[in-house]
Amino acid sequence: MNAQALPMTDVETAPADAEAAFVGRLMAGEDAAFQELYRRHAGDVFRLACRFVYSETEAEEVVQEVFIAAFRYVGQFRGQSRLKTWLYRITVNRALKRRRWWRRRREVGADLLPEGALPLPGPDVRIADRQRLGIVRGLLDGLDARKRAVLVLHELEGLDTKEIADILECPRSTVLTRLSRARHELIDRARAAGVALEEG
Amino acid sequence: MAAPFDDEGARREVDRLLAPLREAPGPEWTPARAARVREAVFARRRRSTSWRAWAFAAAAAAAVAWTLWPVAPVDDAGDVAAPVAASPTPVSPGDRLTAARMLPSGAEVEVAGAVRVAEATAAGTRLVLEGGAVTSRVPKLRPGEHYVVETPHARVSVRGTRFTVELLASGATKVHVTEGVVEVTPRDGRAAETVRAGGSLVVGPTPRASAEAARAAEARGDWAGAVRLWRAVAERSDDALERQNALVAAGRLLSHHDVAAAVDHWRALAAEARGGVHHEEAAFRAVEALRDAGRVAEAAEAERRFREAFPRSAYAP
Repeated sequence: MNAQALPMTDVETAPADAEAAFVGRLMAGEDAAFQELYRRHAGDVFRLACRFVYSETEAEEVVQEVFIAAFRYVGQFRGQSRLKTWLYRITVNRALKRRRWWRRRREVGADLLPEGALPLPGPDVRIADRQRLGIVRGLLDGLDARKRAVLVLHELEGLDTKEIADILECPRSTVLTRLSRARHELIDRARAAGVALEEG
Repeated sequence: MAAPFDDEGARREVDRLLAPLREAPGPEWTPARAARVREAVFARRRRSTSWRAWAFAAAAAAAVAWTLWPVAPVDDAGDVAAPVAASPTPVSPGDRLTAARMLPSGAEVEVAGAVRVAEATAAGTRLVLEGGAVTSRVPKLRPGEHYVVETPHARVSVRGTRFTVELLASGATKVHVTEGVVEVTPRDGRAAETVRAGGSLVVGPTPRASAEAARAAEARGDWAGAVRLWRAVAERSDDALERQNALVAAGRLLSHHDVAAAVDHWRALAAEARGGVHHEEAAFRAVEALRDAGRVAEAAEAERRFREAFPRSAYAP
């Protein structure tokens, strides 16, 4: 037998066992485990929330809501996905809710963004790049929420389609379809807006 | 064979298109931010997990707090007499003024609230009033010099005078002039008005201005003020959805800071928004508030009804 086989197996199974044990501590209501959960994942949850909401303040509120929901509903965590995926699912749901709320406000004419709207990069970034960044954000914002979510999770967060399917609780084939349509729609919008796609 | 959804060309184009967004540095999860959010999260968790043990203590504490809570002093906006520094002190854009001082332009200000400096040079001063009141004594300005106080819905500019700008609890801006003349320009497009010595002018907020003021109150941590302003937006709004948007904003604050009030608030909104876009959130927040308030049986029943009404709700994973 290959001498490396056993360690490889250990490496693959140990994190799953460790996570199961950790989830057990969470379900038992152990305060240190909740602190650990927050310490490990709050930064990622915040960064992900920033991809969906309109301001840093909103993103902080999403982090609050996610962990409060996680603490409250950890008993319903069935272990069918990773803990981080489960947190991401709550994050996306909460962030999309807030996003819809702001969109509705704009639709009725209250076109105000929340305080602390996510900034464009500072003056050290070239004006052309900043302009392009603003345009790209606008194009992305024009997609419907489901397509945008798939595109953000895959293209910006680097998640694979299986993880995205777990997060959005839909079949992987649905993710692939949305991803394909989102890409084509984004390209069409970019062309309509006169954005040069061939720029590297 | 290529998968039906595998469009390599589109993938590459989108990859290039989104590259700047992927590479742009996002907001940082700083230690200060992590600590602030952690405190809010765990305070909520402590509240919801230990309500039984603390129910009586909390009730007693609340009773004591009710009797001892200090009443906020009401400033006489037209008669501020705090001492002002005799010489100018340097200030920079972004600084917050909290006391009486002389600015580089020679103007003296007395602050009873929250004032942010937007510009402060020998040639010009621009202050942003975010709450409370600021009184200014402005020397005669030379041509090209300016002195301006901005509020969420008015811009007050002067030519050598003494005046007070105050944000009232209602969200309106009150300008009171004791010496000289000021010009008040409402931000909603109405014509500027001149206020002379001894005169006052109140610029009433539009729902939009009240919404801005509410967000400013939230930003500085004045949640009670923000709730009051969001409710003012709701009262003034002619549009049902805009009204409910404002009530949702108020409710979110109440959920964090006053769960007893949040229960009533969300229940009322759920009834008002029945069948509408905010029905689901209001109903769920009412469940959360009931739970946070320790009304476990009511919360369980409300959650059962919520899940019946919204079986695929994103609010209850």
